[in-house]
Amino acid sequence: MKARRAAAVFVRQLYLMRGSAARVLPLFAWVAVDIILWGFITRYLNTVASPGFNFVPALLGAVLLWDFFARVMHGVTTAFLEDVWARNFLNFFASPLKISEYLAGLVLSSVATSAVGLAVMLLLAGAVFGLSFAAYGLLLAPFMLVLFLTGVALGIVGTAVVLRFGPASEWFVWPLPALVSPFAGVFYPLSTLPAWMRGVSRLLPPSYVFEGMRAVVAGGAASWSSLGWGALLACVYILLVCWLFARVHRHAVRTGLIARYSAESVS
Amino acid sequence: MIEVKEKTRFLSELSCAFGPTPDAPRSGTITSIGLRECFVKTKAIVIEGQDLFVRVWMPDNRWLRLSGRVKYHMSGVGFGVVFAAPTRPPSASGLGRRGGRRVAGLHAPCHNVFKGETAEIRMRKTEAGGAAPAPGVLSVEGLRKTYGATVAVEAVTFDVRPGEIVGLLGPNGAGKTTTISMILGVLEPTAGAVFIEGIDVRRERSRALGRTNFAAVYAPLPGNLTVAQSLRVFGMIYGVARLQARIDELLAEFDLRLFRDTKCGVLSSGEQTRVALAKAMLNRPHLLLLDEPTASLDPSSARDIRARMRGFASRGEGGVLWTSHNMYEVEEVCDRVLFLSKGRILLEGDPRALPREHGRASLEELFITVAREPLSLGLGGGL
Repeated sequence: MKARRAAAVFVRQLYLMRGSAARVLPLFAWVAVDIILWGFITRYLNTVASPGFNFVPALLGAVLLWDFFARVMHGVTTAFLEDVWARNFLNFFASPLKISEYLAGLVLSSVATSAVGLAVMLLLAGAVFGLSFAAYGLLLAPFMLVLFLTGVALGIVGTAVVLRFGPASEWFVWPLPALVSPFAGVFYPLSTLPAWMRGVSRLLPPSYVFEGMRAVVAGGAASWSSLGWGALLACVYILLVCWLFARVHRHAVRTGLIARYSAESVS
Repeated sequence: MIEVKEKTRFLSELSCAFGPTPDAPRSGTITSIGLRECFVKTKAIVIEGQDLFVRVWMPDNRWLRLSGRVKYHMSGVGFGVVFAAPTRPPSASGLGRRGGRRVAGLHAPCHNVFKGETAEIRMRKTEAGGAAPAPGVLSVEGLRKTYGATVAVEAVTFDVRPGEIVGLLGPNGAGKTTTISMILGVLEPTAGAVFIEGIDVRRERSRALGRTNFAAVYAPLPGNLTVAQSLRVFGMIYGVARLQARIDELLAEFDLRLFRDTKCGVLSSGEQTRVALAKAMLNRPHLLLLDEPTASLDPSSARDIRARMRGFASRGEGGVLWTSHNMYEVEEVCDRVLFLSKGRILLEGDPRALPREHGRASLEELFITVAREPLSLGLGGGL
């Protein structure tokens, strides 16, 4: 893998961002609205719930982490969709660019775009609603890492779906995080869920993050082994989805879909 | 010394004699040979299903006799023979290198040898008394693409040599773009192989495509990047050294300096074509694929582009595969043309001599005849 080629994919995204309000605004606008909305909800809940329990780190912290996860996922898919919208596949895939380099470029783009969203969320949640991530201590790093890796994995799944089923299928991709959230236990303990949903949750790395986060907020300690399991699962998913993307790309090359992508199907 | 494995395939260009009997053999050239079949390039006509012998002259003046049956025939191009029995090609020492030295009379670089897999030995016949000609920048061998029962490309075999401009001609739907897509690795052939400077595109796509580049009307550069940004992104992808200087050079060469900071999407189609050509020249490709490069250009700009591409080829920097529907342009630019119809190469030759050879007044007239009535030229075998 050549870093310069992956950097080219990233540089393309930077050029697109530069001077494009339509691209820059969504990086932080919607997450900012989320933080403001949930910030006031947590304030209200703190006034009506039994004293002693602080909803800010429990709910607002969860919203922030979840939005970070969704931004990472959308960062990958949006960078990919830029190539769909600009009909750039042929230029990229008929060049020396390898699939691994292309995916690495998408992930680099996502790192940059999700960092913007995260910075704005931290600023708002800290300055306006007094959320301090210091409460999570050292665990914050593995929390973020697991969510980042899972966001990347889900993002690559989204790109594979669009590559396989054509440009119109991008509408399947946007709601993917919302589809995962009930199982991830973002706002409630997994014990709330019925057994079959808990089974699904165990396969989702974010569920280990949010369980750990709630344990810390409740004054307990998060299980490092659970987080380790979550991280391992996320790494396995990254490998699996890279394999999936390569398979979908191979299918597209075999059927001629890359060369005739706008036709959506040639087989 | 190369150990030849069971699946060894020889890509060669060896003289051969063939015929139903050895009494009055006709001559041809073997362009590919394997354990089970070979392709004989010849203008002579044979009958599909006919049993015949093929005698191949080997580098050490031995000859190899093969017998088989004509599987398919392409008038004016050649025919494919299936051997009566799987044949082990002659010893590797006779075809490859002997103790690391070239076999006399042949330029036989050995490459792509994988233990236990297919070994390939690419061969070129040496000009009498001269040095071995440079190997082709592009070798397309028995390319075939099918979609279900539909055959898009069948038995397409050709080379592009350094400094040569080869025109790929044919009516709409003939298989030109399909062929180019397979060369570019964005479409997988059902059978056959593509080599760019001896590198198998299927096995080493990235390395092979690093030596090539392309411009096509159906692959415009992203409209939301400026000209300079586009060239920078693709320059990074193609690993261009001293990229900024190269971009400045190309902006000047293609008269694009005024548009350096203009988004590609707002340029006229002619200007976009020039940007696409500048991108195609970024890495000084050894193989340049141009799919109707002048389709959107006014006559003056088109002439200018043709001159640039001729200059590129004449400097020996690389070979060019050029598709166009403008026969006057083809005559002016191409050293050799291949007429493709219904996925097969029906004719090959010098665009200035071909019409006369087939009793037509112009290349355009010949094109129309090939497209509409190939049988009237004695073509269409296997169609």
